[in-house]
Amino acid sequence: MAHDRAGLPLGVSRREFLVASGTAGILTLAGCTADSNSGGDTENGDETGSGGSGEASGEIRISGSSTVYPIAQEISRQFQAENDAVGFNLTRDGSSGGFENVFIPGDSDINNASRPIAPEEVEQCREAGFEPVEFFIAQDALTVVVNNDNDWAESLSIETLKKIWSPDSAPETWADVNDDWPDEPFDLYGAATTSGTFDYFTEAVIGEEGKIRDDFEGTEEDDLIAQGVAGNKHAMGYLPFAYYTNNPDSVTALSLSDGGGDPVEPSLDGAQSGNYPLARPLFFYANASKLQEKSHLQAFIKYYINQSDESFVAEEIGYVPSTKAMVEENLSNLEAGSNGEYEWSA
Amino acid sequence: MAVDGDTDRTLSVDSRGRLWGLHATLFEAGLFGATLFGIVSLCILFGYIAFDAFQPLTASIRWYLLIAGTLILPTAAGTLYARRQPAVRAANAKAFGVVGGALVAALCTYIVVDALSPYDVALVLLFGGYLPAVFTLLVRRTNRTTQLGPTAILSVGGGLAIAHGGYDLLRPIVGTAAQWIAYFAIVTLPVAFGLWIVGRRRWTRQTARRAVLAVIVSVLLLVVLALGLGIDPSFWVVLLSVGAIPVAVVIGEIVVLDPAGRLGAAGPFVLIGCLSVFLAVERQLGLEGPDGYLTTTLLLESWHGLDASSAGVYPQIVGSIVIVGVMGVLAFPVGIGAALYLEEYAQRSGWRGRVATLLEVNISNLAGVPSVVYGLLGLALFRNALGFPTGIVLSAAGTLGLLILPIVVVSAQEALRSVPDSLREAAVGMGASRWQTLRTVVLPEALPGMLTGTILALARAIGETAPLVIIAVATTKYSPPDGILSSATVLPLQIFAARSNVDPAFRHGIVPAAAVVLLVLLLLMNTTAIVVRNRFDRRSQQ
Repeated sequence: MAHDRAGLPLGVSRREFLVASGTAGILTLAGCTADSNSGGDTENGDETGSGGSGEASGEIRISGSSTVYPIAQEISRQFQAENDAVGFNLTRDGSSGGFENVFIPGDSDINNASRPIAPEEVEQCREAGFEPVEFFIAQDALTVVVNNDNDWAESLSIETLKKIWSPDSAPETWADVNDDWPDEPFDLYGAATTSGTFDYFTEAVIGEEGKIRDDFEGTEEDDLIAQGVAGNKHAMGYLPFAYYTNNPDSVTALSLSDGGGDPVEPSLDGAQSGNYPLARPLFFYANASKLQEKSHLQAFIKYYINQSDESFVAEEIGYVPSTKAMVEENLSNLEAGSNGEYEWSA
Repeated sequence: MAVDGDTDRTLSVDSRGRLWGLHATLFEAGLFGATLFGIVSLCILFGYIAFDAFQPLTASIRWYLLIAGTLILPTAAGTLYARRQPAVRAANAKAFGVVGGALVAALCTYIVVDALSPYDVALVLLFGGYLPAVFTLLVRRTNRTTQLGPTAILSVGGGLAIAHGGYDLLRPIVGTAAQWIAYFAIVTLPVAFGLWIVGRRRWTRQTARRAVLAVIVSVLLLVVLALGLGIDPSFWVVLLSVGAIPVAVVIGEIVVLDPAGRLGAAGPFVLIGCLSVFLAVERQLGLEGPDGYLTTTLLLESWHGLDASSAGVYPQIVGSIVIVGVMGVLAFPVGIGAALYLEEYAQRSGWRGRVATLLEVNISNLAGVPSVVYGLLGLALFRNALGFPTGIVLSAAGTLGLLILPIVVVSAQEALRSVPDSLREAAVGMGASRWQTLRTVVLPEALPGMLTGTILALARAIGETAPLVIIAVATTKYSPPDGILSSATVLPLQIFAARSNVDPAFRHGIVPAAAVVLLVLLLLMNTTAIVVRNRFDRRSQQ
């Protein structure tokens, strides 16, 4: 008797307490198991997913470069609008960060890269048991920017740029590079070391990947580079062209010349024709074993390749679209990758 | 001379005293400045964010006049009136609380169940909830002395195992039912059951039974009506069951039992009426409202990376809610368990006492460990040791759960400590065992404190970004998570990614608007914590 009627401040009897806590526990567990079932199906990415139709279904995980991210984002959005059952999962890790942390361990299906994959990374992929399939989908004009009040530098040669950014010379002031320029210290902004943009810039300008003076501000956020350059009259930085075209008022772009040629303004045409010295290729790499397993991944990449020569890539995103030849090449890579015949070569 | 000397001394004391007075005033002013500093700078930041999100300058003067006339004036008049009448004010607060809370609860329930698939939830609820409950009650009826706790736990476990094992067989059977039936089972039955429990205590058994019957009949009538009109009744079933029924109960109680405060109960409905008048007039006159970014598109659509006016964060909002919910489910029992052990069971002396002290010191320190470190822990534990795929709901929730665990433990310990020892001693003195004391005396007293602490910890976790970046939770997804093993994304990550969009409309429009959404989620959780605390406090004082 005393048991059952134990007087409680809340007026809760033993039975009510049991029922209430039981219900709470049940609801809790309800959430857990319901999901483990439906989730389990999606995980395998095969046709028996909860959507369960013959169409493409499953999940596609895209990691890597934040430069390529806008293209991947737009095309995956379009693809998703047409294929409900395909879920996308996009992260921005930087090209190197994406390869190292997500793609090589086998977590992502596609890794975006704003530079070609390195032979060591290919080795690591092969050790992990898959081949990376290369797709060259667009080009970018890497844009060197200075402050709007900078009235002394309008164009630079790649050699001068190298002198400014190289750790061997590492000039402290603008006057150290050119006597006509003010005797004020440099304030340099660039991409973070996990970024493909960083790898490309060091390779193309200084001549050795990863070699750069160590007193610059490195970040994955283009916005911060632009803000940094806009905030100091004597600052310099580099950005993807897409960022510059969308924010032309915040900073001023420099024309670049190479090997004594005429300076060329950064533009998509210049990048496409190859006249602009810092035109860089943008890639994405697919995990070949996942490509063979997942038919929805093949369908998506095919869609991706076929969209990559459309005009919206230039007009709305700000990159040079694929050429017909690139589309053909990519389609043949896709087919080889899907059949397990693809082998990467530099 | 002597007189002169005297005046000198008085003068010097006076000036010293004045100097001391000045010191004190300056000190006070300094303290006041320190207090203001943080608040004012935060207010300025929020002002900026709100300005960017709502773009108030784009609206016309007439629009503002309309909003003042139809919304602000009636609300202000109502508030002024209510402030003079304590009974009205109390009823008003209660009515607003229940209307707001029930609406939010209904929306969250629908969003989450819809994302997870109502059939799956109904299936699990049937086998893990209803059948075990019936079984336990049957056992209880046949043998009153049976240990009901173990029976309940075992039957729930068994039911879930059956549901899991027979999923492929059972799911198609459940799937043949109309969707509203699944929702009926998920929301209406538990609400009816809760009403019965509450009603039996507050009113008579018969009234409670009638109320339950009324609930079920009204939901069924609504279904018939919706089917007749050709609308899918699912959402309306949830809205009626979770949203309208609690409102009806509370408002009904006020109207019947509280004649003095009766008027206050009309508050929320007057507001809703004013809002609909405002919307109708706005549409009729074609007035230009502010062209802000916090729109229904933002709340209900999925992400668009190129066009700010069609970008939405629905999957991110659902992801945040689901992850935080699963996290709470994981962290709450473990945290409360640890706190109960440390406060009620752990020995104070001997080597076991020393171990307990060591644990306690460590837990307090863990509460201050930076969240990035928890991200690394989550990566090591869920990705590398357990081999989960990256970025799934379970690993995100687990990582955040570890993050808030120390906070939950510490706040639960505080709540347990605040239960006076005299209560425990009285219970023990009457022959109650330690477990009985705990369950019937200590836990009910400490529960509000524990809940408050946990909800505040959840509110902290909903804004976490760093650990989720480390465990590679998606930045962008176009669909909400459909289970705890599916991948999800959360609002702060999308805000972070949109910060670096090349289009300024994202950086200066979508980012602040999404930040406002996140802040609102957070404020809702804090409000819940406060309401829970106040409510239970009042109860235990009665």
